Amino acid sequence: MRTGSLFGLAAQNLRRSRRAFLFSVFGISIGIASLVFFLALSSGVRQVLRRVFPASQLEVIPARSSLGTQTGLDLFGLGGAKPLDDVFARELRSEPEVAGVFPRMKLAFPGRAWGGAQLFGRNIYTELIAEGIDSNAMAGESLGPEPFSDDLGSQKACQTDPDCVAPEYCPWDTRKCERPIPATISPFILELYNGVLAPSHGLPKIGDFLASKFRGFGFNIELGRSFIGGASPTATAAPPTQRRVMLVGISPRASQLAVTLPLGFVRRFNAAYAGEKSAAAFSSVLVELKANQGAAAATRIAALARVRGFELADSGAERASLAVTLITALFALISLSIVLLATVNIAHSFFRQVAERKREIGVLRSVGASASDIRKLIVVEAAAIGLAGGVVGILLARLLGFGVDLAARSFAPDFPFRPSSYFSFDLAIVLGALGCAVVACVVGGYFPARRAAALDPAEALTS
Amino acid sequence: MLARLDSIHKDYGGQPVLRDVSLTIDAGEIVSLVGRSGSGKSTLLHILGGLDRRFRGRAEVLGHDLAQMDDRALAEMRNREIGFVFQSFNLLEHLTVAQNVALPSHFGVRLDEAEMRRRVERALDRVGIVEKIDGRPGELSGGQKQRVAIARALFSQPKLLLADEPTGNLDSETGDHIIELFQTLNRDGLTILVVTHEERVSKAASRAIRLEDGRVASALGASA
Repeated sequence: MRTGSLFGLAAQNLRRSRRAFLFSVFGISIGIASLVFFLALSSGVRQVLRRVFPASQLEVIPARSSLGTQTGLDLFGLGGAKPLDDVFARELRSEPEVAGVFPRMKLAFPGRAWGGAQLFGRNIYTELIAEGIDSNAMAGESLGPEPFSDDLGSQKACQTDPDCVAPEYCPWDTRKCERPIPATISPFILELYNGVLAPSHGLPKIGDFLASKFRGFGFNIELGRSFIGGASPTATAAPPTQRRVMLVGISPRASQLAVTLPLGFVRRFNAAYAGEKSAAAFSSVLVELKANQGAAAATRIAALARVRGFELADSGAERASLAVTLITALFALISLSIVLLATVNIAHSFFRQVAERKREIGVLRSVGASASDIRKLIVVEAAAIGLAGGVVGILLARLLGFGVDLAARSFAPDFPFRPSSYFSFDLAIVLGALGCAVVACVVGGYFPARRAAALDPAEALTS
Repeated sequence: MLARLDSIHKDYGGQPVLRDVSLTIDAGEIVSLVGRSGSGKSTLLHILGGLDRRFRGRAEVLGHDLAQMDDRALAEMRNREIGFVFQSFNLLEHLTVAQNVALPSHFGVRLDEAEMRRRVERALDRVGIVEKIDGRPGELSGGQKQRVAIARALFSQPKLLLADEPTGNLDSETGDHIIELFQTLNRDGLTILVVTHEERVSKAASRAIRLEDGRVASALGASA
């Protein structure tokens, strides 16, 4: 039987039993709509998780079981943890899956910061939480107006700021022209600000436009002095001093909750205010995996870190991802149960139709249909129901998703990393759902089709 | 010789339906197969048409040894070389007259739309009902339905027409017209086997074979 004839006859049969067709399509579409809805929701949530926890980034830290790290003593050069140093960073760089290795170092002494009057209308005062990162980490990022580098500036002798060429200024302790320390922040901080701080403090939200205006925004820091903790803890620490900082952009490689400065600055500050030891060991190493490296690469890096006495920082990504996977699996199971019920309904419907169309099947056999033609005809009818049910189900899911997004936009409060849509109707989900619908219906139609094909033509004609 | 049956036996659930039936059908004949209900007439017609494969004995139809043919080959033979006409017409109510007549085309050689339409018109013209080409079976009288069924049987230009009680559901006048139609088709060269229990149909045949309790009781006519 030719394909065109097969589809033509199947279409004629479906048109005839329109009510049974619509009923079967309805059943399968409900299951598929539910499946697509939850898979798209899961995919959308995963996309948010990827924004919060970039999958290509791993953070190696000293082992948590070590006393030094647990107490934080290593930050002050007194801990017993095995230090993360350039030797391990070099080893990581030689791994084939690794695109880049960027050591990080926390500011190991108290500091404070203030500024923001131009942006917020008033100055904001805060403790300084800062971290240094290898300046190469920001290569390729769109930053400005100053480069993210360890460069101090011209170091020309000066008495006041006008003696220096802007943006350089004249620090009162060194009296040498210095450029503001370039700093980046993470998208997480921006989301935290937009989702929590801005609404609660009546401050303006920072969108893409404002974020671009953010570049060049300056504030002041005072090293060795804190709003809450007093002066630096070590007796040999340098006297408190002030510096200017300039935000040069937002980067996913920046520390999640700290202002990120070039590593050289932090190393120098730690040496001056917390001792040479704290300027030698990194607090963590950011490992950037090459594109398309899956979980296996992460596992390998984790194993290597463990062997060398380190471990991967728990960002919470794994637990969040596991929770999403479990919830998705649960709802997918419920959806597949609906699809299964629809399959049983389709099988039942086709068994009934085969019984009702017995004589018709006999007529088709008498004009030249083989048993396999009859089987194919019923399977194609079932597949057509699956295709129609799949398309309707996907449209229903999209409609439902649109409704949920609309309701969330209207009623749900703002929060960090809030997506414009909670759903991601990926092509793979759409095609997979269509395939699932067709396969479910073909399975439902297959056994009735076999029964129809096995009918004795002579008996069918006399039924 | 168009068809030959040798010592055909057929049981239904242990009950013999055909017992040692042997007969031949020559090209160009109208043969009537007569007998009471349950005498095995329809079963014999189904065996000749390749619709019933569960029998013992040798059946040779249009040069094919039916026992040696698989389901697909039998389907192809039915599609190209044999036409069937049934007592209850067996038209598909959801299709138009033209679609019913063209039903064999779905399983045979590919025809373009124009050729298909031409063949449908020719078949309907032969049975004198071409004006109903776009109608539905539900709009036709019994006689018209049977003519459409005959047109469907003629669509593939078969060599053998097997008719099972073709006048059984028709009044006598309409039945006579169908008999006349069969005679006309036969004069045009078509070999016809008619299963009937009606005397007038049997009389129109060139040869009559009587079945009784699954056996050939008598064979009357030219080739008998």
